[in-house]
Amino acid sequence: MERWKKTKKGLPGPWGLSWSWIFAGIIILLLILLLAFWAAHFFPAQLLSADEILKKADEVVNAPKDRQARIKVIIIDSQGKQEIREMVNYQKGVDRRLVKFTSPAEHRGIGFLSLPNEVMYLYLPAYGRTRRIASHVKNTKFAGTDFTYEDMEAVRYSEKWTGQWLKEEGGHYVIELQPRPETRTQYAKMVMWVRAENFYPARVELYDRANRLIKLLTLDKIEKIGQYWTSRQMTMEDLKEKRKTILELQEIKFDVGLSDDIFTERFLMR
Amino acid sequence: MRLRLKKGGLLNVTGFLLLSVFLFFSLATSLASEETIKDPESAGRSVPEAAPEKSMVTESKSQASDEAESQENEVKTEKGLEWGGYLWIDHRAFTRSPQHYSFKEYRLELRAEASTEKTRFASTLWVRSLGFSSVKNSADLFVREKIVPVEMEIREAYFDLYGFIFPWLDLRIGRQRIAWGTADRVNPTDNLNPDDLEDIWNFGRHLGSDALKATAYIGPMTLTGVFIPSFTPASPPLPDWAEAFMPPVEISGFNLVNWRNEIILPENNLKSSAIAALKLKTHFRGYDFSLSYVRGRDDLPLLRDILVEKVIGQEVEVLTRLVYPRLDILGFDLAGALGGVGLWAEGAIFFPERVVGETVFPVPGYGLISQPRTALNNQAYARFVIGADYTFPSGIYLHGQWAHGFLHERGASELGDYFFFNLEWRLLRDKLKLIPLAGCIQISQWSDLKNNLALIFIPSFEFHPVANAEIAGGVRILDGRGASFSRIKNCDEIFLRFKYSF
Repeated sequence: MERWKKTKKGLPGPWGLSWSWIFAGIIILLLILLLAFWAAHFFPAQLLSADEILKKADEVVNAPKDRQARIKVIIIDSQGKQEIREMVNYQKGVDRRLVKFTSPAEHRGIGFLSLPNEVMYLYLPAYGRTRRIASHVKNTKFAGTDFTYEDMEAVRYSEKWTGQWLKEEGGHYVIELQPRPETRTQYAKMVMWVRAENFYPARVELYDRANRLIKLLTLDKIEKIGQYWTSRQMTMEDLKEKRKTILELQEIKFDVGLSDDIFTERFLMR
Repeated sequence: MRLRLKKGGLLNVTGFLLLSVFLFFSLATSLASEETIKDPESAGRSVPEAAPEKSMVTESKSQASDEAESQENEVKTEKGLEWGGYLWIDHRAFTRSPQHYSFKEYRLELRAEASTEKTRFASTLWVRSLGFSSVKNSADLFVREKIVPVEMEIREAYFDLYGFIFPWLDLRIGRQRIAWGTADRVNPTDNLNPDDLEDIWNFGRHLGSDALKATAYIGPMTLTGVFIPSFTPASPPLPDWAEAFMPPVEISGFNLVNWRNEIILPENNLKSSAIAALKLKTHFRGYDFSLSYVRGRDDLPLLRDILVEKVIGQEVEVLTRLVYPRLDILGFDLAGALGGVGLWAEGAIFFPERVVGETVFPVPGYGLISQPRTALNNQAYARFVIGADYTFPSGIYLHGQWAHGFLHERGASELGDYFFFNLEWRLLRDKLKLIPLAGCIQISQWSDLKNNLALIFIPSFEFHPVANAEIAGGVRILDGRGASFSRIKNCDEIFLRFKYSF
């Protein structure tokens, strides 16, 4: 009763503050929180570093435990002539991948197995045995496409590259990737556009050691299949030679429980 | 002696019966397991505890497929009959006057394949026309074979049983190529299939062998056992090229005017003919290693006996006998990389049996005099290959190999050194491959290089104008003195080749 009497402007609150001050404080606090949530939603990059964006992109791209797909490879030369190849692709985790060509006839049966620690095997049916291939092939074109063996590797970008924030552009975070000192790569740097909406990379510019933009990777038809975001179409453009290769992913299946036995020389030779 | 022969025969028959029983049992078990898969209901009744074998792909854990939910998430390895192959046209001509054709081959390779999850059948058939018309008189014109020589050959025809009895065991039965070794085309450990040297420039090619191959995959190790019941000799080079591998028979002080030969094949039974082998492969610290043992036979004939049949003045007529000696071969190979450079090494120690023949010579007044001659010592010798390759960022591919001993060389003192080199440059998105620097330097004796040297230089190109088509051409230039390949130094040739895959 004593406290009621002491406050003239309103009801007495705790710690000697009036209730109106307390309500005003709560409203301001809520507004700040709302503003923070809003900012976090629309400007998450300002809360995330480039490396964190890269990690998130890795998490999204490599989210499935495994993946099985049929891939149509369309190679388009500078005159617009097309060559079509087909292959099946199995991938488990980020560092195990097996690719087998199913057409055309001259490539049918050729297989490529990529294992951790840069262990790679090539199977040529004409020789009847697998051949261990060294990492020097990484910078060579994979079966006449514009993708190199390095481009075909399934990797966690954040493990091999460090990110640097550049800008935000059209709903994408643009970050520059520099190779870590221990990373062996043909590229001096990459510039990556990561979709703000889902952290899926949409475009990657690839630069050579002379800092020239030499190739452009575009990831289109980004869809959510089941619980995973994936790009159904990847285009690698060779800007110097003015040609490109499109990989169209068909019959994609995720988390089918691919056995470890698939990623062996035994399966490669079948 | 008789008893021993009988004993050996009995052993052979027993061995053969055991093998037959093993094969029958294996096939029956495999077929039974196939039946189990085909008819799970009846399998469930007859063998209730038999769980389905672990598939290459297990049940789906998450239905995150873009396909209908009802679709099974399995790797579909079952294939109906698929077929393909290629047409190969190869023309060659000597560059030296009178510039005769040296080789002509029209080859149609037909491949057929069918598979299920646990089995696979594959075959490769060659239908080809090799060589030129051999018509010599009007009667020959009525022999089709002499006008257009055509032959058919089963290169491979086998079936695989995957996960045979045990999930880690694969079996391959039938005519097959068993390619061992990590080196490129010169493989001291590749001794199971007979060499196919018909086309000398395609050395490293082998004939198929009718064999049983079992491969066990145990953790990081792969153990392969091979059994080839019967012996098949190597196919020798065509006459124009044979001299490179087979030195001419010489009898000092005489001119050889007539030379006949007799090939003595091993006895056609398990004991004499069979070849058995074992190989253990594993990997360690980024390198693949393997150890192998072969109890086999040399597939190139060895001159054992020289029988001088007739002597007229300084001219002699000779009959020679050639045999295929037993060999035990201990092999080793490795492959890996060092600083981005591909590396491989492969070697084998050969333990030949001792072969003693005879030289028979007629001496006037004394009749035939026979002298023993050691055709092959049982001294072990080693052949090895060390190689490396690298691809430069410009797309230039460099490949080099040093081989101590070539596939026709026998005995430590006979082994020469061969330095193979190959520089390739891929252009126009792999449509054009230029090989300006390729060939081999042979040194048969380091102490007298000048007189024991051969050089083979083969600049060439490969062009793929459209998918599945290939046009290749080049020249083969040979020179040297003393070394075995210098014996064919007058055989420089140009070649043009077409291939279409379908």
